[in-house]
Amino acid sequence: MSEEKKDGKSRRELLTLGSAFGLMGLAAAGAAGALFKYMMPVVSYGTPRKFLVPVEDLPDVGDELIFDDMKVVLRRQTEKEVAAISLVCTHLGCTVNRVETGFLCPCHGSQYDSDGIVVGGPAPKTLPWLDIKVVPGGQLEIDTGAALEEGTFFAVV
Amino acid sequence: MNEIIEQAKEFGNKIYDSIFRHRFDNTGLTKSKIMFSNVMLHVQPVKIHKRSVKFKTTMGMGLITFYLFLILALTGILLMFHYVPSTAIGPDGLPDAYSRMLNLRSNVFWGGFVRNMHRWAAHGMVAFVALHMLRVYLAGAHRGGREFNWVIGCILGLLTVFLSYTGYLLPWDQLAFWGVKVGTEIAKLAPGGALIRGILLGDTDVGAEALVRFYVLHVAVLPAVMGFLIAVHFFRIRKDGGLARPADTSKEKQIPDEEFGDVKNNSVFKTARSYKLVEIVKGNEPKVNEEVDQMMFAWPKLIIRELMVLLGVCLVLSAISVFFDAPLEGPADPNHPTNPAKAPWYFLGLQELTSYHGFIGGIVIPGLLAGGVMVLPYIEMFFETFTKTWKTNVPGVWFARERGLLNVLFIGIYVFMLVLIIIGVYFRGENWAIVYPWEHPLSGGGH
Repeated sequence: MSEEKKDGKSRRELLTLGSAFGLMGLAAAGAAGALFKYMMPVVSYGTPRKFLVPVEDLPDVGDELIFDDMKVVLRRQTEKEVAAISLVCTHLGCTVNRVETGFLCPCHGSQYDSDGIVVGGPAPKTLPWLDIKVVPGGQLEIDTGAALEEGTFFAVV
Repeated sequence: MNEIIEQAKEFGNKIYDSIFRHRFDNTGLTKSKIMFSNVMLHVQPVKIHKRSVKFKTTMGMGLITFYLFLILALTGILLMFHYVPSTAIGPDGLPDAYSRMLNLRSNVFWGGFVRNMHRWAAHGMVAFVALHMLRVYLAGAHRGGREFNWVIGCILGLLTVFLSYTGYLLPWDQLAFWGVKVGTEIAKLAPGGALIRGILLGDTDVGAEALVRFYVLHVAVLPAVMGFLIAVHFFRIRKDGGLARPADTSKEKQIPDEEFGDVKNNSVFKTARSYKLVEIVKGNEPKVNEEVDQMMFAWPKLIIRELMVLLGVCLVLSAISVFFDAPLEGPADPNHPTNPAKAPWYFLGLQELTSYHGFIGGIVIPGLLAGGVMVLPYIEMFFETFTKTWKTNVPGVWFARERGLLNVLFIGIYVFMLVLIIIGVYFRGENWAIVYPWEHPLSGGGH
């Protein structure tokens, strides 16, 4: 009899405590979720993904043009073939330097050849070759977000 | 006339008594009152073990770390009066945050000194956290009931590093920008890292939003968390019975009694810590501290020593800050890292690791090291519990023979990191290629 009573009491205690902590936990989880959403960025103030290059600004055949702000090198293979290669190191995002043998990263020593293929260092992937579209008004639109196969040249003009 | 003087004295005494509850005579009661009636001092016990004040016991490492934290808080607040976390380009063509650094250096009265002090204290704090940790481990002071405090200490260590990391973005120079760029790219490699990176940067890349977020973390969130955990860390030292010490200290060479003078003890309790004696304990005998002979009053011996350490820290730090300027690279250029782009020295070991493999060197090894070191006392405990022959719980003994293997392994971790840091600082040159410091002048990094 007395044990039953004790049981009843502990059950009541368990229910009270359980619901109290349960509600607190629920509130904490809700608040944490809200805080997470509050902190998550929804608007980007950074550099845009795409940029335009007028056709007449293209480099000479066999030459290259580096777009500092967009971290892109534009290469003209032949009269018509143009490719854009990203200068963002695939290891940890530093900007690689163009050298005679290809590209070198000053942060952790990744080495790429002229086509952006990794030849040394910690870089896991080839430098991304970017998508180029010819848009009306004699301009090229380069999309720095798209990564294509190396050696992807686009016909322009 | 005499009456007036008497009344003035009485009035003066009344004022004194309303502020202080004690005089400064040499009785045990007064020495106790000094300690527990002062909000700053009552954090410490009235009586401490004699070995606690010996240099060999702690080398003052934890205390130095704490003082550096206080200096950082103070100089940090001073710097905030002259700083704006903005990347907007000002009339001088420089980002606001960066031109504020130039302003501090060249215009503000002793502004450069305050900034130097803040930067060097930050470096010192990282170093002394590491040394304090090494001391604690080699002396076995993380054992004997203090295991959880070790975990809190490790979290404090990580917070110190994270505070340094958020702090060095604020000048918005090249070191700042590329350090944070690379650091957050490493975060992206971790599982769920892209989310953490988004929350840290507030944007898709390091920029104005990241500066504001790091600023808030650096000046408000992290110091608050740190302050709270420091309180817990100290509180637990008290509750765990003071500094770790061997089970029997009666044979240890202690500071001789005459060195801290005669104490007139006019209290009821002759030698014991009185608050221990008046405790109501279950059992048949009153609980008496078995080491009463080894206990000494914290006032004034301990307090004076602590103040001496504080003076020493201030002196050395001021001297360094007068003679050496905190580094400031060119304004942040989001398009071109410096070549080589080196992090401050305490991150160069990690940078060296990531230069072999991003994920393994940047996430797996540091994660395993940090996590492993944090639960180290529990690993020891695990083996003790399950093997019964592995006896490594020897608190408060430097280089205890039973802990030889563990000590060697722990020192090994330190040597490993130190070697990586030395390679990173001295043997990496342009494009992170191996160079020899005696062949090439050092460029960039190292700060």
